[in-house]
Formats: sequence, C-alpha cells, structure tokens
Amino acid sequence: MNAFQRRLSRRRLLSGTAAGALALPFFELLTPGRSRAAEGFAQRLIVFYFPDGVVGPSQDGEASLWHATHQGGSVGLTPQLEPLAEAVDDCVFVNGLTMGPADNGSHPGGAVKLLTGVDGGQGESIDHALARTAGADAPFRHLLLGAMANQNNASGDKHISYPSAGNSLAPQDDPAAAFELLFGGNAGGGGPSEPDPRRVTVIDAALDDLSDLQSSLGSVEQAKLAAHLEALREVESRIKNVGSLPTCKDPGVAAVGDVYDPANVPAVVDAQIDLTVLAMSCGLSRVGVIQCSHHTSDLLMSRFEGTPLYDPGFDMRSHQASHYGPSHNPGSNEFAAYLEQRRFWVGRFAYLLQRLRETPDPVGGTMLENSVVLMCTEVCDGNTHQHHDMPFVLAGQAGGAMSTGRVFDGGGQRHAGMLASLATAMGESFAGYGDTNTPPLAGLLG
Amino acid sequence: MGSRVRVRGLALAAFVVGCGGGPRADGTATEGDEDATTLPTFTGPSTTGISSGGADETGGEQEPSCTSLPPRQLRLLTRDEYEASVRDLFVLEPRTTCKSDAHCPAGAQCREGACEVTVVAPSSFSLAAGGERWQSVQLAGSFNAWTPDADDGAWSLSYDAAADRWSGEAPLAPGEYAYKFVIDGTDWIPDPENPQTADDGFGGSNSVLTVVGDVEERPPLAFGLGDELPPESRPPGYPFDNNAASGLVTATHVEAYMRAAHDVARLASDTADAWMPCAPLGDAGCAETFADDVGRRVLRRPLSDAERSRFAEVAADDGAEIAVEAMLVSSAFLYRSEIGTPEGDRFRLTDHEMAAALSYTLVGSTPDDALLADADAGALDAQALEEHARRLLDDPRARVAMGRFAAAWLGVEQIETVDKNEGLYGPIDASLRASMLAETTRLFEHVAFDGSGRFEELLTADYSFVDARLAALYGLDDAGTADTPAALPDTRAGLLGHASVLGSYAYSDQSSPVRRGLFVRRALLCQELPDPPPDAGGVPEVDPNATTRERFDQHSSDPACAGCHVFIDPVGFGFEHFDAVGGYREQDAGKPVDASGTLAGVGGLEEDAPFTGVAELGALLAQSDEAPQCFAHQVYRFTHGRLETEEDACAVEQLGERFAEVDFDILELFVATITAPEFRYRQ
Repeated sequence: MNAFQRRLSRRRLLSGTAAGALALPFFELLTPGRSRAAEGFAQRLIVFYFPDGVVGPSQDGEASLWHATHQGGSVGLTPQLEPLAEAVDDCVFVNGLTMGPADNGSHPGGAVKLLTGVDGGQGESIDHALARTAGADAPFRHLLLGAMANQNNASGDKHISYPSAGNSLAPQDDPAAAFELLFGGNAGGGGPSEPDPRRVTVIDAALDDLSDLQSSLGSVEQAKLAAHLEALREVESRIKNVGSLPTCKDPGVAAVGDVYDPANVPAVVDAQIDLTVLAMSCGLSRVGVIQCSHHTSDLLMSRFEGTPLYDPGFDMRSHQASHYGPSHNPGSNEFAAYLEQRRFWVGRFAYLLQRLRETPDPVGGTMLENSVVLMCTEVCDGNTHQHHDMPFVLAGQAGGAMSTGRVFDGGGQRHAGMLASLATAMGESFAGYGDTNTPPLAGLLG
Repeated sequence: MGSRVRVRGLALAAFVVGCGGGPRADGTATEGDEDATTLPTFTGPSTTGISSGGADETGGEQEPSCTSLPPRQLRLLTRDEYEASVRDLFVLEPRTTCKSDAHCPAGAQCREGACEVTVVAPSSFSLAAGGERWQSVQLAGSFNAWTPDADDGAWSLSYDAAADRWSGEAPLAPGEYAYKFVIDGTDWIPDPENPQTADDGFGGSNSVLTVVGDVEERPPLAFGLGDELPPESRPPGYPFDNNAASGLVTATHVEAYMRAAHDVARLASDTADAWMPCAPLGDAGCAETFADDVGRRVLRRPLSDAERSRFAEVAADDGAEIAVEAMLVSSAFLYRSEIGTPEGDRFRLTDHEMAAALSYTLVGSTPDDALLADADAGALDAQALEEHARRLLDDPRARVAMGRFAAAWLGVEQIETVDKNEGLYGPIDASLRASMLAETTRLFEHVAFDGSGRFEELLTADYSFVDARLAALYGLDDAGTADTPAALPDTRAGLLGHASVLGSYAYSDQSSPVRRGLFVRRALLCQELPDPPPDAGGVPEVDPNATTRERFDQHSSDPACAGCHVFIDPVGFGFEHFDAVGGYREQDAGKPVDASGTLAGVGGLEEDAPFTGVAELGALLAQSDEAPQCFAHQVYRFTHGRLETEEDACAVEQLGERFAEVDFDILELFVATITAPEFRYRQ
C-alpha cells in the first residue's frame, strides 16, 4: 500500500472537522542551533507506550511469545514483533530486565515504575529528567500526547509521565489541540519575527507575581512553585525568542473527530505520531511521550475498522483480552484477540520508526539515525502481570551512540539502568536512575 | 499482598479492607492474608489524636481539639472553578449567539449571530507515471510561488511503484489555483487527468483547481476558554478534580492560561460597564483605582504595593484588557492560598483565604462582594463564616456546585463517554447520556435543598427526575417534569437505580457485578480492596446460555478469588436486574434474574446482611454506620483538596460525629466543614 492510499484510507476515518489533514511531505526543515548528533549522541527521545502487556510466559509455564531471539548473529522475531520485520536493523530488542519486586503482579504498580524506576511512582520519570537537561534548549521541552489516555476520567496512576515524585501528568488526547499548542501560537507557518508586546507584558507580570509568591512563602510549596517558574520561563523563552524559533512550513493537523470514539483511535495514534515527528523534525522539541490508552484499558479495540481486530458484533477490550487464560490457547477468543492487539500496537510503533526513517534530519542523515526511541508497556505477560523480563524495544541509532539490529539480554538487571542509558544516549551523564540508582547498562549502548 | 495494599496509597482514615483480614487502619496487611478466611468487621475509628479541647460556646471561635491539623497548601483552580470565577468576576453570560468574531473560536467568523468556519478537505494531486522512470515529480503552482526547487520548499509527490503513480496532497484554502507538475526538475506539464485548464502565457496551458470549502457552524465561545485548560490529574482513590497535590502548572498550562486570559479579557470588554471602575489607559490615577478595585476581586484579597504598581503600570500603559490578562495569569489568581499567618504553634488562614475557601467549597467560584467586605474588615470569625455559608447555600450557584460534587463523588461523569454497544442497547447518544447525568445531579440537589435534606434519602428515594427517554429506558409510564419527579417502581430506588451509576459501572456489552460491587465499597463505604492477584482471570465472556451471576461463579468457588470477591460480587449481584445501560430486565440469558445478595462486613448491620435488589441494598446502606461516615469523608476530601492521611484523621472523625449530630443533613454537613476548626487552622 503506498503512502497516498494509506492517507486516503485514513482520511476515511477522519471527520473533516478541522482545517485540513497533515501535509507532511511539504514542510520546510531548518537546522536547530545545537547538534548533539555531531557529538555522537541522540538529538531526541521518544517514548511510545501501549497498555496491558504482551503475550509473555504463560501462567502454565509456556515460553514467552514476545521476546526476540538470537539466531546465529541475526534477530529472530516472534509473531507479536513481526510488524517490525522491516525495522529489525534499527532496533535493539531488550530482554531480561526487571522492574523489581515491588507490586509485582499489578498493572498500576508497573505503570508507576515504568519511566520513574521508583516504587510507587515516587520519583521523576526519565522523560522529564531529560526534558529539563538534554531537552532544555528546545522551545517545547516536553511533549506528552495521548490516544484515549484520559478515557473515562482516568486517575493519575494510569499515566506514566511524572514531573515530580508522586505526581503524573494527563496527556493531551486531542491532536487538534496539540497542534494548536505547537503550531498555533509562535511556531510554525512562518510566524511573526518580533515578540508580541502584549504577551511579553503578560508573561513578565506573571513571572514577577510568581517571584513575589515564592519569596512570601518561604519553604512551603516550593517544589510546586519551582515547577511553575520553570513552566513560565519556558513559555517566556518562546515568546521572547519568537524570531529565532524554528519554522515548520505549512504544517496541517489531522482532523480526527471524536477522540473518545474507539473507532477513531488508530487515526488519533497516527496523528499524534505525525505531530511528534513533525514538531521534532523542525526542532521544536527533543523529548516526547506518546501514551496509547492506559493500563487495565477498556478500549474497545474490536472497533478498529480496517484492522484484523475489527469485530462489529463483539466488544473486545484491551484488558479483557489480556486475561487470555492460563495457557497460550490459540482457540481462545481472548488469546487470539490479544495477540492481534499487540501486533496492532507494534505496528504503530513501526509506523513511528518509518516516519522517522523517511524524514531527513536537519543535522544530516535521517531522524531515526539521530533518535533514541523506546517502546514499552507496564507489565510483561498480560495475564500474569509479572514485572520481570519486561518487553522493551529500543530503536534508532541515537546519533551513533547505539548500534542496532540485535538482541540485548539484561540478565535480570533493573530496568532503571536502561532509563539511565537513555540519558547517556542523549549526551547526559546520569550516574544511576531510579530508587536503586542503577547505573547505565553495560553493552546496551555502543 | 501487603505491597498491593500499600500501592493504592490509600489514606489511614479510609477503611482499608485487607481481604479476609479485616479493615486496616494503617493501610498495611498482615502476613497470611491470603489464607485468612474471616470476614472483616468494621471496628470504628480510633480515638487517638483527640485532645480534651472542645467547642467554645462563647466566642464562636472553636479551638482546634485535634492535635494534628492539615498542612498549608496552594490549590490550583480547577477548570470548573476557573470558568465560574471569570464568569462571576466579569459578569459574563454563556453565549448562544455571537456579535463579532471575538465571540467565536479561533479561525471562525461571526455571520448573522452564528460562528462559522470554512472546512476544506486537503487537495489531492496524482500523476500516472506510465512506466516512465522519473527521479522526481514536484507540484508547482500559484499556491507555492511556482517553485520547482526543493531548496525553496517545492512540494514533492511520492512514488508508489505498485500503482505506478506519483501522488501527494496539500491543504489549500478556498480559491482558484493554477498548477503544473514538474518532472525531474525540468519538464513542466499540466495535469493530464484534470480537464480544467487555462492559458499559461507561454503558449501552453496550466491546470486549474478550484478549491471550495464547506461552511460549518461552531458554538460561540462560552467564556473564552471552553475545554482548553488541561484536564486535572487526581490520585487513585480521590474522586474529585481539586486535589491540591496534583495541581501542577506545566508549560502547557501556562500557554493555556495565557490563551484563556486573552479570550476572557476580550469578552470582558463587552461587559466593562458592569465591572470596570474607570478607563485606565493613559490615566495614572484611574490605573491605581483599577488595579486596586479589579485586582482585589481577581486575586481575592487587597493587593500588595508591588502588585498595585505592577498592574497599575500595565493598565496605564497598555489598557484594561491587557491588565486583566496579566491578573488572570497571576499565580495569586490561579492558586487558592491556604497558607495563613502564624498563631502560636500553628497557622490561622487569613480572612481572605477563608473567604475563598468558603466560596469555592459551596458555590464553586470566587468570593462575592459581601464576603470580601467582611474579609477586608477582618470579621470572619466562626459565626460570620456560618452566616455566609448559609447565605451562599441559598445562592443558585450552590445547587450547581452540589450537583457537580455528587457527580464526582459517585464517578458518574464518565457516563458521558463510557462506550456502550448500541447494537445491543440502541442509540445511547449524547443527549440520553446528559439526561442520565442530570438525573443524578438533580436528585442530589433536590434531596439536599428541597427534600428531607438527609443523606439516607439519596439511597432510598422512591422517585426520580427523568425525561421521556430515560422514562422509556426505565419502563415508566410518566416522565414527570423538572419540578415534579416521577414515581419509581419497587425495583428501583435512589442513586443505586440511576442509569448513570449502572452504566458507569458496567461494560459496553454486559453488566458488571464486580464494578458495581467495588463502586459500593469505594464510593459509598470508603473501603479499598487490593488489586486482584497476578494470575486472576479476566471478565468471563458473554455466554448466551449463562447468566452473569453464573459466569462470575468462579469468584466464589475458587478460594483464591473468594477472599476478596466475597465483599464485591454479592453486593454487585444485587444490581442484576439492570443491564449495562440501566435498563430493567426480568431475564438474563433466558433465565430469571436473581438479584439477591449479601453485604458483608459492614458496621451497624448483621453479618452478611442479606438483601434483594437495589432498593433493599440502598436501605441497608442507609442504616449502616459506614455509608454516612464515608460521605463525611468525601465532603472533607472535597473541602480540603486532600486524600486524608494521619494528619486529618481526627478532623475527619469529628466531622463524622457532627454529621450524626445534625441527623445526617447534607447541607448541615457542609456547614460543619466550614465551621470546623480545621477549616481555619493549619499545621
């Protein structure tokens, strides 16, 4: 299927309520000021999350149907990973990492540890740690986009991105709103070259107000106000440096209709991927998280028209399918659906990699060559909910920091070490990460 | 299992059930829980943390009798609070029509009172290669300055080998465009598949494309922000949107606040007569007055000298609109302050902080002039707070705020989005969902303000407010009216029979005894259960030959499940006369419904209290010790923006006692939270 046909079929899902669809082939690339790639590091980190685990080792002891294998120097893919067949050479299939014993067996317990490496989510997640370090010079330090990630008033333990200990953020589920944020104000479409004096006045006043409040409160609520101050400064920088902001020419937005209609979710996921790639391709951001749904998801994946999951006569939810039973029984409806659902998510990850591979990087090469991308979910097997032998896949050559096309066996080390390695890939030097302060994993990069 | 209990982060004061092990005061479970088979019994709250102090009958200022107090905090306004505040501050009315483009969302124009946008589908371009091996095909035309040069941003088509075609698409505004394809950067040809052409001035022809858009109507800006502020995050187990700890400002928030402030300021200029003391632009004297007067209302307190000069300078230099914007992005507006001033070894909230807390708790909005005046005068002692509380409860906004409280407490807002299988249940559209939600908020409002006022009535009401569609769903003959509720049959009573509850706690295609049972335990009894064990199965598949009850039988027959599910499913089975959208059913899978259940381990009731159907379950809960105590917990959480911890245990307990003293009157409970010492004092 060629790109044009794919767009047509996708547009069938789009309601046509916004101004247009994505026009990705036609944007202009400008070179961001700083090149980590030249130093051999990744320009950017993208985390792609999907809910409710994978078909791993079964309760009855059957071997995992997820984990890739070494096969005489090449990578052996499993059926769930098969959508990555064309991207094998761009991936590192990370096996054998554990998230530790705390809350093992729990979806929320896994989700809170996933990017923080800290039990109970009582720590900053790696995306935020890198947004305020490696990503701090980008106009948007942190992108957090979702697809039905706030479905039915989801509580905070269903979200994976933690700006501070114990506090997660709700992703932006609407691509149109995300587009407005990224391209509607200062950036994109050849915006103004001079700062808007009105916005300058307002942000200056806000900064002065916050400073007054900080000094009047002493030690009370200082963490909250420090985060607020950082947020104001980021926006201040965008307002005052509007003339030097990168320009993305003619970016469009995918119109997806009701973002809480499960039938629209495939289009929402792709739109959020496209937006992330677009924003990063013109240097608007270096750190992004795409959260698809959330753990114990009620997402009716059987309503994904045009996919093998589609079954208008039967409502199959993600979490329901994940409890496929004690064994890998191909005759079970849940098992069959669960396997196909995993393939769907892996396929969207493959699409992300494809978009990165086909988009030139302003610093040279392709975006994928200069990115480090993580695919993750909060537990291993969806039925047993183990936090061991977690199903991670890394991708991208990280500006030369990571060789790809291989399987990495973590040998039971903590996954926090992988999070520390992500920092290394981005050119930051974290001695360790998570509550175990696990150092970067030897052999994961390089 | 202990770790699973802990991860829920549930506070001490809630009654944590370690399945089979009894309620846990400290949120931990003991060894051997998995094997324990005894039922938890409610032992009542402890009496630790209460000192011998008591009510001071003379001065109206009750001293804190608890040795621990909640902490000082800043509370970010919720989206609802923000919207209500700007509406009240600037006398904005919800719009149904527009007068100018300023009343319309970005990109929309106001035409004859309606906001309209022109929606254009992207234009597709395609060229058959006919076997030619071209290196590139560019699209050049009047829309991109006819550039064929990739360095100038030429538009490149992409090649699909299977179709042997070059194609791409571009979002073009309505209008007429001329274009050509440029092959390999040199060969300019018109689009052979487009019959519309025009002379190109070089002896050839251009292809001509006419782009037309569809005009669509958009709702006018209500108050300028709509749903543009980021959604609130909330910790698990905390039902409301106002959790103080979760209220963090990110750069995304800042952008949204600036946009909202800009929109509000534009709308407020239409109503300037109602709120603006004088026109400050270029008038230093007026600018000071403006800053003091408007600033005091926006920031809910008199301005500091620094603030006065800051806002006055903006008002004088840039005018009222930008000054309002600056005030609305101020941290002093965006956070409700509960910081206080030192008084002995604790802190007493300032009168202005109390005025704000009172107003946001009861009417969901900023303090009015009367409240601010008393705060200015330093007159807000406990007695004055109570008088203001009673006054504000007569305000129509209190009814709206109470309805919102109820919807959040019960978690039924999700009825607006939760998926339902329309093949099974027919259309469950937005208007029907709105009716379902309204039924619940309306009942709460009616009971609190117009009915007995008592908590019990929420669970036992033999009437409800339904419109024609909801009446049809319920199988009622008459819908009643806005003021006259419809009588319910014996099978349905109180909140537990509402479609909002029944539908929110069900799947898309089946009822859910587990979700409904957990709803009762969590929302109504404040009991938390651990997550299921790792190897727990999923929801049994729908089976045309088995009732829901039969399908969930494993939960009681398998000892590994029964430890917890004995507290869940036998409660949820009581709802089995109601399908996934709240419709009544006599049969499930062709067999008569059995809606008998038991309510185990609840104080004030017999062990394993039996019941049949939601009316009897509601009556049991109403008689229980826990349900009203839990309601007092929820009101405390809502008032303080906190999931209670040890620091709040004493205050929560006293509030529960107070609830009993006022005969479980809902509004009196809210008044009691306002007059409680913990409302005024912080650690």
